Amino acid sequence: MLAAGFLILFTIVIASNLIGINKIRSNFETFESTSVFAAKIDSIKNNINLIRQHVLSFAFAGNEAAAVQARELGKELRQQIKQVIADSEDEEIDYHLEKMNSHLNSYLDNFETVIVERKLRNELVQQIVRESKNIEQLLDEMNASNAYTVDKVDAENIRRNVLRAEISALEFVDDPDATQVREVQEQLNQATSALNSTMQGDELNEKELQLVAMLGHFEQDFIRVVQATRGYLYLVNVVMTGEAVEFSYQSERINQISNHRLQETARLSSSNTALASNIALASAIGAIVISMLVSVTLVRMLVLPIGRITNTLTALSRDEKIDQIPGMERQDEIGDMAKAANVFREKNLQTEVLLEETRMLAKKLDIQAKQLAQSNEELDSFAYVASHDLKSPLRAIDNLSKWIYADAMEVLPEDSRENLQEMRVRVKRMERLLDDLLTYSRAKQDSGDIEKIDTEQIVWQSQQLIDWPADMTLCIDNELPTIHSFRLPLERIFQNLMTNATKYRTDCDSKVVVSCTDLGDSFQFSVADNGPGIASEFHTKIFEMFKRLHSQSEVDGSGMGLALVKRLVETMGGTIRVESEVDQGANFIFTIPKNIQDERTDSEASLALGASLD
Amino acid sequence: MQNQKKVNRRSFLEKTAVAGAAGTSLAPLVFIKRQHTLRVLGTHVTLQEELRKRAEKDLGCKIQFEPGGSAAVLHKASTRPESFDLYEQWSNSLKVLWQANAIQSIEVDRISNWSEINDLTKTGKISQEAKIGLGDAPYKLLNVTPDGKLTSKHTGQVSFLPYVHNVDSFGYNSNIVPKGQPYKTESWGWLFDERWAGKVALVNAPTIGIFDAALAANAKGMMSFNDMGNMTRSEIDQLFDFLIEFRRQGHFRGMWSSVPQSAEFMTRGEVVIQSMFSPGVSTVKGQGIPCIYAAPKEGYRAWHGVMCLSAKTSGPVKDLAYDYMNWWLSGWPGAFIARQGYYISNPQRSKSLLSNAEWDYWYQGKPAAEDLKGTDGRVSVKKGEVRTGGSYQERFSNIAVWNTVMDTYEYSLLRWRDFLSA
Repeated sequence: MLAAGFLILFTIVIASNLIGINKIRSNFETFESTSVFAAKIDSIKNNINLIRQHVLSFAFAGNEAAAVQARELGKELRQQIKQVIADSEDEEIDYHLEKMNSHLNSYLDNFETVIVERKLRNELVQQIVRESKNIEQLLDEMNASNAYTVDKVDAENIRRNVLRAEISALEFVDDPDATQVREVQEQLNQATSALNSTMQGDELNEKELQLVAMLGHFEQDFIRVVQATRGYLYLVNVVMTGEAVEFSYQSERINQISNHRLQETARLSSSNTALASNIALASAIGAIVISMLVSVTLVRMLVLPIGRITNTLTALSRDEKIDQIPGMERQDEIGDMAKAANVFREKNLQTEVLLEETRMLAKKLDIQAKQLAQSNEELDSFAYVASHDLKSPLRAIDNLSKWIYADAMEVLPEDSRENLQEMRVRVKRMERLLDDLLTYSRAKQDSGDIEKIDTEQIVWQSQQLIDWPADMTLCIDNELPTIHSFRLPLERIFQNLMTNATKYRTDCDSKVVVSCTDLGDSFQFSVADNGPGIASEFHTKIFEMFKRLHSQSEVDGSGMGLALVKRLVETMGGTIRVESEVDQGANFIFTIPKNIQDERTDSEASLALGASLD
Repeated sequence: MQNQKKVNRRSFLEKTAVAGAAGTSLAPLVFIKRQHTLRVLGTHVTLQEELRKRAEKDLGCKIQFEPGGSAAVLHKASTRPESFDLYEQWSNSLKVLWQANAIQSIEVDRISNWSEINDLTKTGKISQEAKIGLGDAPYKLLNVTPDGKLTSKHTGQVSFLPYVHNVDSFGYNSNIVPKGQPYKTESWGWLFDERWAGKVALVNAPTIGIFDAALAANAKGMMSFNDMGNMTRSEIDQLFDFLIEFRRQGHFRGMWSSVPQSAEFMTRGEVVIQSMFSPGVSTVKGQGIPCIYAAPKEGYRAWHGVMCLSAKTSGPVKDLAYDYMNWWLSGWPGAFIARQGYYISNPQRSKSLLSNAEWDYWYQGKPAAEDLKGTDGRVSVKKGEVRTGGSYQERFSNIAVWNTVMDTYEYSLLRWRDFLSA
């Protein structure tokens, strides 16, 4: 499509320019050929004028060389015209050229007659002069021999007549006029009359007959001179001049036609130049229009579909739902792109479904989490209320039992005393349980503020605070870090884990090793003992509330210790687990984030505030 | 050489020619039946193929026509009389031929229908009221005196056989030049009307064209002539001064040298008014151009055909020449040329060979009663047309001048060249 568009543009521009250039070139060629042609016609006109000069020079001055030159020029002119006729392609000009040729041929043919007649006339003039002398000589002879009948007076008259005839004849040659012709004939008539009037007898003798014949020849030759003169004068002045004038007229017509053609060609050239400009302009406009059409077509065929696909892909990338990829039906590269995009769309749709499912699940989880949090809060609230509110009657029971025991110790049987003691033990246990429960429920609120804490110091202080057996070793494996965290929860974690180690220990060489590993974003503490260990199936259970692996009688405790630890660790964003096997000791490992946040809610804070007030 | 009584040079020359012919007859007589050929030199006006074939058929002999341009044939005839037997041209060539001794006199007694020949060539006037016309009216040159001079008096010997004749004027294209009234408004002066400048032509023949110009100059009041038929040198100078001035002003398209050329001038539109001959007018009209052959109020320029016998023709060929001359006056040729617009000297002989419509149109000047065909078989005159100038008698009663070779002929040739070259 693109190639076709450019091909059309190229063709239009080249074709239009070629048309314009060809027209202009054609005009210039016509102009040039017409100019050359006009120059040839001018040359022909010059030659005919030259010929005419030579012809007149010969006709009136007898210039023989001029006749030769006229003939030579005539041949040349014939050849020129023949060539021009051969070159001409114009019907109208051909007509005039043919006319010129015809007039030239007539002109030159007549000139040949003129040459003949003029030469003949010259010869005859010479002959007339000779004949005049001969007549005179004959008259002398006749006079001398006295053998003729003409007397002297008549002889002189005849002689005078012949002389006058000769003079008139020569005058005619110089300046032809019919009066001279009549004069010659009149003089010759008088001579003949004189001869006749002096005739002796009826017969003319030989000399007289000779004289009559000579007079006859004189007249005959003179008449021939007259005819030759009139003939060549007529030919030169009328026929040939007429032909030459027509020749010039025809050549002038050709010149006019040529000039007209030149003007026409110049006008055409001008209009063709304008036409070429217009064509070029039109082709440029056409090219622009076509290029715009091509562009629009290209935009419609390529750019827009690509744009639509791009927009679709962008939308797909924004996880928008697209019903259909545009251009799927096409069989070209854009169709391939659309098909490829369709794969993306389908994947997106699947992802969308998954995301929707995920969102649903998350929402569900969120709801559940909120429910759980609410439940926990309610539980914490209940535990706090229960433990707080139960402690007062419990203290009352303890006090009452103490008072009963004190008042009636002596009156009470042993069993009752023992029972009463047992009741107080149980009340104590109940009270500790309630304390633990209260602590657990307030774990989130009793964190205090974040502060700089030397954990090693806390370990040592914990050892001091708890009932640490004297034979039990506490080791700190490496230097424990100073961290920014909540002091109270951390102290309770260490105290509970270390207490737990003291409670569950073997009899000999029991020890606790505390260590810490920097995990980058958190510190991982480890409190390991070499006690009896915990079977793996209990590794999770031990962190649940009130879960005990040993009976109350075996190990004192409320079963809340590890649950509280877990809750404190998790409240600070950490995790806790136990690595242990039976008889292999137990290693409690927990993490404390370095960048700890006070994530307590306002309600929790207010709850804590309320608790602290209590 | 035989002795003679009272001789004149002309008879001497003629006799010597006959003696030459007689000399050949001294050879042993062997009868050889040979078909003689009559050689006729002339112009295309009368040397037409139809005429030649008809004459050969009627006369049972061979006839050779040698048509040519007026000047060429005159020159040939006057210088080489042995090259032809009969010469057909115009009365204005007669003086030249006679002076040249190129032709011999014709015996009237041997022309069978001589008595039928009308007065135009016998007395110069076809009617009592007719103008003879200036210049060499043919009747002045017709008869030959015993001493070889040309005269109007009957001698029994004539220099030419009168036969074809006509009047000429100018033709004009009525699409351009407003149509005039014959003999009333149509005038030779139109040739010099400046309105037609550049589109005017004259015939390139001094013995003819000079009179067209003179008639025009006279009609326009530019000059007058003592005797237009025999102009003096000063009159010629004055006339040519006008002509040269006109030519320099571009008044003339040119001079035509043949009838076809004259027709071409007008059909191509190069000319709207010019000297014309009758066939030229017919040709132009045949091509749809309304060419009117004017009947000028000043009168026509007339011409007369002359059939001359070569000075060198003798014996059986001379007899044949007489036969041919008699054939021309026998009726058919007169009818033939009548259909081309020419007149014959004994028209009554041809009348029976023309239809009434033809006779009425061509000779009587009446409207054509029907379409009339020319000698080429095509309609040349449409029904209702009237010949300009009227009847034969009316036309030849209005002759201004005859084509003439004047005494100043040679001088006019020189001025003619000046005019052409101007």
